[in-house]
Amino acid sequence: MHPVCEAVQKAFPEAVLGVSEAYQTPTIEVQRDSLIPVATFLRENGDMDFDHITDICSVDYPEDDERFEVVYFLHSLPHRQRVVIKTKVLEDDPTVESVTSIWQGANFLEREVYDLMGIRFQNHPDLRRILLPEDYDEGHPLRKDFPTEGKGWRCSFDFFPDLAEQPRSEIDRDAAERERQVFARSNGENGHQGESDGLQREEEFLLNMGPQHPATHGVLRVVLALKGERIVKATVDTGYLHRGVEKLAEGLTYGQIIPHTDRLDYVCAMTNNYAYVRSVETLLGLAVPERSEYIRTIVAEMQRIIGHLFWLGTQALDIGAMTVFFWTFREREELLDMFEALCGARLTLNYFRVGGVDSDFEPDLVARLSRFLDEFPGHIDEYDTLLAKNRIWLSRTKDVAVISAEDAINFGLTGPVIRGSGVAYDVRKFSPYGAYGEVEWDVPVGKYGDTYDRYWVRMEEMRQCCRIIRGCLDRLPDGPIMADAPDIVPPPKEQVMRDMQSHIHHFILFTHGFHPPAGAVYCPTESPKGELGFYIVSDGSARPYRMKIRSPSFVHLGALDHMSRGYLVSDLVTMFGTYDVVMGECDR
Amino acid sequence: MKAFLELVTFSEILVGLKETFKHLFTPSITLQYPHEKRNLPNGYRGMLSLLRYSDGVEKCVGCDLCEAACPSRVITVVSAEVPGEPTKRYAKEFFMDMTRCIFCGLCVEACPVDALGMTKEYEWAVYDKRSLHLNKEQLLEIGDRAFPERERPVQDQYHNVATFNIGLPQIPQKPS
Ligand code: SF4
Ligand code: SF4
Repeated sequence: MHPVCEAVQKAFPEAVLGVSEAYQTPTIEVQRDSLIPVATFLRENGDMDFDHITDICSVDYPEDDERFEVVYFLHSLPHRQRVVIKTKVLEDDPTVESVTSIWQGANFLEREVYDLMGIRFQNHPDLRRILLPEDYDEGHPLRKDFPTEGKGWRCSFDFFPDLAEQPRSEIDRDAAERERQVFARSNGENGHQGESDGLQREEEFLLNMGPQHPATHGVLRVVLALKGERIVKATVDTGYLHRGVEKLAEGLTYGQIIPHTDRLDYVCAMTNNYAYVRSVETLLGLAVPERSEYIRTIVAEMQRIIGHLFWLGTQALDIGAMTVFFWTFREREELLDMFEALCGARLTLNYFRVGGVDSDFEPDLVARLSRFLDEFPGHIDEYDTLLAKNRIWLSRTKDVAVISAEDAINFGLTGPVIRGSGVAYDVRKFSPYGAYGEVEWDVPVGKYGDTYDRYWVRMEEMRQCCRIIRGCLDRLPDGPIMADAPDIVPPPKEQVMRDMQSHIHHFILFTHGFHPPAGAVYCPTESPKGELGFYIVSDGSARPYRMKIRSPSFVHLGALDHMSRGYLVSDLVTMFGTYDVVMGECDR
Repeated sequence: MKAFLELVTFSEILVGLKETFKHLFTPSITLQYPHEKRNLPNGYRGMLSLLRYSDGVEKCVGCDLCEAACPSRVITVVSAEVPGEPTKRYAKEFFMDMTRCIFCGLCVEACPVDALGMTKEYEWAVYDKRSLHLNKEQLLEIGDRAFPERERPVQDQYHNVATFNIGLPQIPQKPS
């Protein structure tokens, strides 16, 4: 048995209902009531030290006596060990004790579970809906008895539209009283402290930032409680871009989900594809040909450069430096053109396939990429001449939005944000995948955890990306780009019409899909924003039973309130930028 | 002293400006879009179309695979027998609701006879989105104008082709 399971079982012989080690991850099922002691043990025991909460997921099994399952993904950064804790909840009493007192990052994650699955967390500081509107009263959409099309307006699939469409009835303009109260209620604990003394009043001022604010990088609303120009509390309101990808995925075959993952983090579609495909392949136990692994690594790193260029341009623009934006987009364009030559699209790439990639790297593309790699480090220096020493940039970024390493871990941050605070956590180094273990590169780590350090980390990362790509191009092996697995990978197109067996496989795979074994797997991947993970529960059918996306942007926004307190309103713009949030991924 | 000089002369800004002025003399990379257009690579995933063989016969055999493969339920195929030829099938109706399409290319990948093609057309903005519900004739028309070079009929290309689109006489008979 795994040492972690063993230790937990020894410490809590009654509480542990079962352990397993499927997919090399120790999984412990505990009784609901002993969740907190077990979690505290895992967090505080020196041999365990699970300091990082990766994700919380919930699964609905309507047939079971204990209908819901809450799944906690914990990660011990010092010991480089992951563990999964599961607990079952009854339908009549769907409550679990909240773990926010142990990991603050659980706040948003638990709210999401509450919102979409309807499980209540006791002693949660602020249990409200998070993705759906607060007055949404049609239930909890990830439950299995909730129709995919929604309960109210239903999608009618009609190809012969009604040309004589009736005009919409007049919309009631006045907001309901209840809606007006929403934020007054949530800020209740801070509101109206200073008593009015006639002329001079000192009280908090509520400011709505967003959802239509260019600096929020999408549609995000933050309700700021201000004292003067200082932020006292920032209440994040997400969900304006919620499309229910997790629910949609339950109705699609594994292959059909790939194009939908493009739309999560639409700035970096390749890494989304990669993260998803890797999870499915782990579930299947499918090995990918070597050439394909290298190509995947190369395109993922190209995408990381694109993502960071996009971030640099927009963050500089937010802070007021316009030139950088034009320059970064010039280089970004070049990479996008290469993607276009590779797979026919620029943003929504749909390049990965389960078992390989869609098309091969042609020699002229390799040459183009090589040329780019020769020039690109010079361009990074160019950006640096504009920013690195510029006093406006320095005063806007140094000592702004500081987060200490302990807090960063406690909030479950990942990616450049946690590395800026001096924690060298990178999935690519912790559990190398693709060709990352084979080429030389370093993880840049910051010191103070301020915006400038995160800026530096990302700039340095771009240089490392060049090293990785160069290393991969030098070693790019020959061979096939799709795995040899006839029951998963469709046969080559030329054979389909010529060979009866391929013909049948082709038809079966495109109509039925493939059937992975029953089981559940969580697989993390380092995206430009942080750790992007897909948790897939399979019941052995061609569609995932449940798919949970651990999106870094969402988790990072959970720390916004903590990070922004005491700063100026204008620094909030810097904070959105420094997280590098993409709302498509945050809201899913 | 040096630091003080740098502080009062705004040297870092001057260095930055120097870099910016250099760019005045580099050629511009901006395209004046509606007048100039980009060269799209082959394999660009643009507007969808239906294709024909060189003899003008529609390629589509109405097998419905594209409909099954499409992740956003764009396609509706109504397939039927070719009148008088019980071994041949074709798509009697073929609808595409392009408002839903995410241009993923899975339908093209799924089609066993390569009857669907993605063109390089992308200027498909319309005033009325109902005009994006395309029927078979419209899709074939797009295919005709985007792919003027047509493939030879499949039975001319391969000898023992496992297709349902070929009349009985052409299927190689087992030597008795
Ligand atoms: S491109 Fe994708 S979304 Fe569009 S019709 Fe084809 S399969 Fe459907
Ligand atoms: S377009 Fe291709 S896949 Fe679709 S029905 Fe016709 S032959 Fe079948």
